[in-house]
Amino acid sequence: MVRPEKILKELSNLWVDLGHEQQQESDTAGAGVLRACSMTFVTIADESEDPSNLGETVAMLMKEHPSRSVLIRLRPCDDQVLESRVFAQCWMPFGQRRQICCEQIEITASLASLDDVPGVVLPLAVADLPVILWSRSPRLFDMPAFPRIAAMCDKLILDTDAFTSEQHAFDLLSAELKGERLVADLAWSRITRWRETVSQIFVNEECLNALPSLTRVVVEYGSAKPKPEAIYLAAWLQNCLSAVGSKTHVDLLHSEGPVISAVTLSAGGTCDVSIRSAGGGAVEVSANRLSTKSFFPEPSDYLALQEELSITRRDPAFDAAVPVASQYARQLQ
Amino acid sequence: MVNHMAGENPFHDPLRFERKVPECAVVIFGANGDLTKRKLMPALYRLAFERRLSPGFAVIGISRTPMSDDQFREKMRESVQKFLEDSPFDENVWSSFAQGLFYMAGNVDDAKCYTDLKQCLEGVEKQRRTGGNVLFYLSTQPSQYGPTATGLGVVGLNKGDGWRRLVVEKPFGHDLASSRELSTTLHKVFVEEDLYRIDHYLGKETVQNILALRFGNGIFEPLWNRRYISHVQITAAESIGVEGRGAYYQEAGALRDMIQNHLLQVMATVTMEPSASFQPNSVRDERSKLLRSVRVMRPDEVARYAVAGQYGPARLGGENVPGFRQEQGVDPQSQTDTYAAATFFIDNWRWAKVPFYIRSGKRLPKRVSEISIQFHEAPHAVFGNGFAEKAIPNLLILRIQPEEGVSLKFLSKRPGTGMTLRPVSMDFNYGSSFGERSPSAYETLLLDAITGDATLYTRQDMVEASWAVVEPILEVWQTSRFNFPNYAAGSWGPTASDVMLAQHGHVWRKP
Repeated sequence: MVRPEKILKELSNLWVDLGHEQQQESDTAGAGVLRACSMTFVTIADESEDPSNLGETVAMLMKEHPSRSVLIRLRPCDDQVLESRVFAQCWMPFGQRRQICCEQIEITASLASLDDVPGVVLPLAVADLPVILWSRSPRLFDMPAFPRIAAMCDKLILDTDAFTSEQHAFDLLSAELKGERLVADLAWSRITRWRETVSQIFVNEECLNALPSLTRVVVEYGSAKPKPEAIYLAAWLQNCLSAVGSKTHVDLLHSEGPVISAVTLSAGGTCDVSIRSAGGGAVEVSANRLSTKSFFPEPSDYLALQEELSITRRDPAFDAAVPVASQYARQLQ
Repeated sequence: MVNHMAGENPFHDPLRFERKVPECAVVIFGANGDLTKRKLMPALYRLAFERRLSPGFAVIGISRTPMSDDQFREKMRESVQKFLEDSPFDENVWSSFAQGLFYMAGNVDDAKCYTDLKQCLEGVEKQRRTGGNVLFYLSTQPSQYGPTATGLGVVGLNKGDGWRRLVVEKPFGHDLASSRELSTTLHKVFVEEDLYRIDHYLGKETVQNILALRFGNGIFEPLWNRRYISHVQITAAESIGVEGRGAYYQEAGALRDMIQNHLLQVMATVTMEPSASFQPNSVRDERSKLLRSVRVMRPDEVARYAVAGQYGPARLGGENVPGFRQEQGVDPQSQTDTYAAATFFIDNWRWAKVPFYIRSGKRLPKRVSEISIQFHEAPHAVFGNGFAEKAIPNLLILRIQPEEGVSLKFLSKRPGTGMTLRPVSMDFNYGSSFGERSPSAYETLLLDAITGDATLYTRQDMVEASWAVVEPILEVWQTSRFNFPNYAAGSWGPTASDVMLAQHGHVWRKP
């Protein structure tokens, strides 16, 4: 049995203890614990997931997005299990004398107890601040308790890469996007660097003017079948080209390499663009016969979440990309 | 579907991408100097690291020293590795960035330098596709600003296919007349809109955050006036001495070096009226209007409202520290102010009769820059005498450096059965609340200049208004004979500075 009041009391005691500890350790007046919070960040993951990896991601996020973190671990059993523990995630900024701490609550719930989770989490949400739900478990979306759990949050973050069927994932997203709630997909966040590089090339007027003359646009993917990232990139390019009246179709082609191995936009010599993965995060960018090298950071949940947590309103480019991505996924089936 | 206007980049996503950075060449005059090595090149590298620069980007360094492109690249690499702050050095990013670095030996006093530069720029433009856009950065001696701008104009480099902008470092003249003269020279070649006078203080995150704090929140602005604010103290203290810049500093002094530019700009940011929008000229109009409202002292008021100081030798941290007159290159009888403090009043409805105390000095106890806004005390002592140890007013501290942030000091009940009050501090630490690295002032300002955003740059009317404010003080000080040194290194300045505040019943805060 988990009682939210008890958790809140434990959290309160935790702060008092941290304050005492810090005062005993520090001789300097004015030192202490700084409490930081900008949101309630709820993570739902299967219990089988490595908690240390997950904990590390959440801890890294705390520095940029201090939050009350609630980690719900789903136990695949039919018994009624609902347990909790509270602890603090603290760090001492370099050269400073005061610790920054954030609260973390871990709740373990069996699938049979999933219905009880909203009743526990809702009172734990920090007042006046947004509640963000990061669901790492695709099966959560098919559970009867999902609507009640999702209703708690202002923004829902999922990862279509974790779904076995892209089509199902895009359909689910399309349905979610019809509502008021903000929705984000980490697969979409992972292509930001690709999109940004394309955009940067078209700051050049010569290339921009050549847009209507594009004859061939290709997204190359290295996986056996295109992953959501490659599908999103093709969908986004398609939308951008349509917005300027181009009828060019964006093709998805298999090639060797990572999830996205290249993007090429050809205009028969007036502006030929190629962005090609060169391994180790390096990307060869070639536009108008000028070649440069750029470097994309290694994609990670941390980086994708860091980007998503900074966005507090609807993302029109994403909203427009989802239905087109869904069409691509359907054609690829 | 997201619709785009003709001529707009349909791929741009303002929600997620950083600002669009056009292709351009940055021409740095004084490329072998300290500023280029310590600030400009690390800032440009960092922008490259963050993928903020366009693929069509190039830097042309110019100085007298003969060097090949490769030697220049190697030299800049060493500087970036040495002076890069809070950021890793990535070999791959550097090698890609370094391909866009070029060097040209030239003497800015020689007309040939400009014809050579024109030729060099044409080559670089073809090779790097910089789109004809050029940002000229004068990182030279101030005396070379005018001749360099003129030289650029003679060969027509001030105009081209793309935009042409000129960045000038302070000092913008050494008084009002020379500032106007410089401006007239620059205006013969570049229009005011293409002149970017850099004041790196305005590029600091916390100075920008003042605007966010004031105009992004509803709770502060109603209190931001003479009715609630007793006085404001602006401090820029340095613990170091002149560090080998004695000869330069001797000609400048604290009032010219810090107060005329940086601190008056900070004061204007704290006190200006809200602008209608965040457009460059809208914000700069308000800053300028404020600076023109600062009361100009009469000569007979200078002794009362301004204090000059110079540090003498002292023993600090177990070692002997020289006084200013003992520093290398400094006249042993120097009358230069290494400390300056002034009381300013702003003659408008919002700030009438509120004193603004500004001080800046070298060899003070610590390096700190902050704005301390002191509110009036509570009108009636409900808890009677003795409950608080002494009257402690509310303070809002805006820290610029180090540990950028905002603190609010207020009274709280001491735990226990009695009713004793104690001051507590509510802190917002910019660095630790947002773990993200803050860009350096030069990163921000360079990017602004490349993208044509002059919000954080000073305009000629602002420069002239600042000179008009400090010039009467300078004139009186120039004809005075001070009994220097008048403060020991490691102290908070001369006693006269405390007296200046005491006449209004105020005391300096010790940050």
